[in-house]
Amino acid sequence: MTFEEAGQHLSLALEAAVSRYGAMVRQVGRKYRLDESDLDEVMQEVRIRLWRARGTSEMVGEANTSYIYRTASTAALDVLRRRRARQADRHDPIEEGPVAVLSAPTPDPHGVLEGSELASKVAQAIETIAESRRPAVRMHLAGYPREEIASLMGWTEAKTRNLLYRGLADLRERLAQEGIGWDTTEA
Amino acid sequence: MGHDGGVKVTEAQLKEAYQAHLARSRRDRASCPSPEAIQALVRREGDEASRLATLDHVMSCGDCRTELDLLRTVEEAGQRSGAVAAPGRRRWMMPAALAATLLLAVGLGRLVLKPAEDTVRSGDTGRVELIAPGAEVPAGSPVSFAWRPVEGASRYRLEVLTPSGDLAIEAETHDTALTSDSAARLAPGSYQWWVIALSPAPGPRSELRRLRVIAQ
Repeated sequence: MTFEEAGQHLSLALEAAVSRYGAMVRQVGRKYRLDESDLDEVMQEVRIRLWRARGTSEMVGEANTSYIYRTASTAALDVLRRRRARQADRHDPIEEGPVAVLSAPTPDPHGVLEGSELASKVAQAIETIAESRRPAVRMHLAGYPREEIASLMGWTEAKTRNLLYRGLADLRERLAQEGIGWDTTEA
Repeated sequence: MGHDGGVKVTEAQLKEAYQAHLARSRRDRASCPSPEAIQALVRREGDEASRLATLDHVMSCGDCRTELDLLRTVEEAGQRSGAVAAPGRRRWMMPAALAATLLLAVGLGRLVLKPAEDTVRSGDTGRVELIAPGAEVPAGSPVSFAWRPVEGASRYRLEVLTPSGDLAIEAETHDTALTSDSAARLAPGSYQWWVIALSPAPGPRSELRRLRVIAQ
């Protein structure tokens, strides 16, 4: 069944509730810069599940928001499982080409190598950080704001700041041993 | 990289290098945490050590990070729509009728069941018949759960609850057995578990069965 066909078979009330939830999913998904097609795949799965469940649950008829949310949660898990299974089937070769991350303002023939080497050294240095601090450092370097780290882990702002500062100090020390000095003024 | 006198980088360059490393890192997905584990991280379910371990992997794996963001999106949309409380304030989120049934089942369990009597009970809430595990399992080991099939069920949801009613483990399967690696991380103590048949809407469920995790 296609997305459109499933939608046509849902009651108007239920379709309205699903559409409202779907709009929220898209709104939040944009914040996380998710691919629209990923979100569409989840919402298509939600509609199909609700259509299949029609008549089997009074909650479906009542267009219960909580039920739609729970359906979306399990649908998302199934989408991820299917995607992983497809990835396992494909056996794509892993490309490990150099990455230009430290390209100088003027073209530098060694810029590509330097970027790749720095990335590798940073990744190795992070592995040496204490386990309790490491995820916060990874999130910070991945571009997540401190508030988001605190929110995801359920930490207070003070605990998050403490773990992050100590973890970054560990990283700085390790990189210094590798001959990499680090100007820190942002964290 | 110029190692003669060392190099200086800015934090922006470090982030750029790390993010480029993340973008091109492709792992064997077999080593990735399960989607359920990532969802537990999003919902702040389970102990902090487990969630830290999951987060550590997720933040070093481009594929898992995308999966995390997808699951966060579904969760956050649920919060915004009022369907679920934000993590940390989450308790036993379910419809009132189901909550009433749970309270009734717990009450009946206390009144009627002795700890050693983990026999399957029949009745409105007992249509999923539980088989294993027994009343006690050792701490630190995965636990295998099993139950009898229910006609018309397309999936089953296993839920393990803490004494306060919080979800400690939530997993779904097409099968009538499930070995939970997350159970190895349960702290010693008393829990309850049950299985709900899905078709895919929630249907018949089992009794609430006690599960004591014994320290080794």
